[in-house]
Amino acid sequence: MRTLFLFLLLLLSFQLPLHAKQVSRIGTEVGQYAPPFALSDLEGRTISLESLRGRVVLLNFWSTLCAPCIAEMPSLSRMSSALRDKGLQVLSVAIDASDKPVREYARKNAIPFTVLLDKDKAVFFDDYAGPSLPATYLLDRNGVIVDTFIGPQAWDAPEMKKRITILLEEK
Amino acid sequence: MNRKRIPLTVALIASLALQACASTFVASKDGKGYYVGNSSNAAYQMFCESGDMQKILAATTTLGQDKKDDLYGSNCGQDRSNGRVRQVFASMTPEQRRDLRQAFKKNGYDINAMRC
Repeated sequence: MRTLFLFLLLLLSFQLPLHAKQVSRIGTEVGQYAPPFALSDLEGRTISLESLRGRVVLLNFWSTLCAPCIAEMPSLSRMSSALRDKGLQVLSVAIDASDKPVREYARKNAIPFTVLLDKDKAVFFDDYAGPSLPATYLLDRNGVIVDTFIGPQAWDAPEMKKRITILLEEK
Repeated sequence: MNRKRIPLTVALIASLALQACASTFVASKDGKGYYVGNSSNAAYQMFCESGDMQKILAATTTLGQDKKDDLYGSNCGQDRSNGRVRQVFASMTPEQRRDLRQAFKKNGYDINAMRC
């Protein structure tokens, strides 16, 4: 009995550091901490991902030249407006080479969430390994990636809102 | 007949979208752009026959020879594969990806993301 207990304890001691190592790694896979960055928004303020720790973040990479990105923007806006009061922070990162079309798009469409500029695509390509556009990461309050979405989504679909609401209700 | 075609068309579009999403990034120069690892002749001429891919890889400082060989082979070898390029790109560190992106830029290329 004692041998079995010691064996289980030994097994656990191997498992715990392994688990801790997996969670502590920075990367773009589910279960990893999202790579940190700081970028300027459309008003020139620097916003870091780190500063949003404690909030559920939906990090969306897009471009005005990307038709599927534009196609999902209305539902992303509706979902952002619906869940903002519950604590959701939508953070969109435009990878256009120029900020002018991004500003125009955001103004014309009254984008209700923060738009950041990654003009040289350093965050998108270097830190997030440049998957196809649009690419969206759902982060929990600790900044850990809990879901990845590549391609356009119906953000205000009931099942999507439910998924995010469950995360928002977790303390 | 038409009803039978609708699910087929949706499935075809979905599979094409999934394939496109699995692609790597686009590199463009002089008004022409191809995704890196594209097996078309035009992409081969632009990246490989021109010698540009060799120059780009030579301009990097943080990529090991194995990564350079992998990238060159998956772009310019007989078994060109954008899937392989994607794998190599994903396995690189942020510093190596930065290095590669800047090497493309130094050689006159603009890089962009593939759209799903």
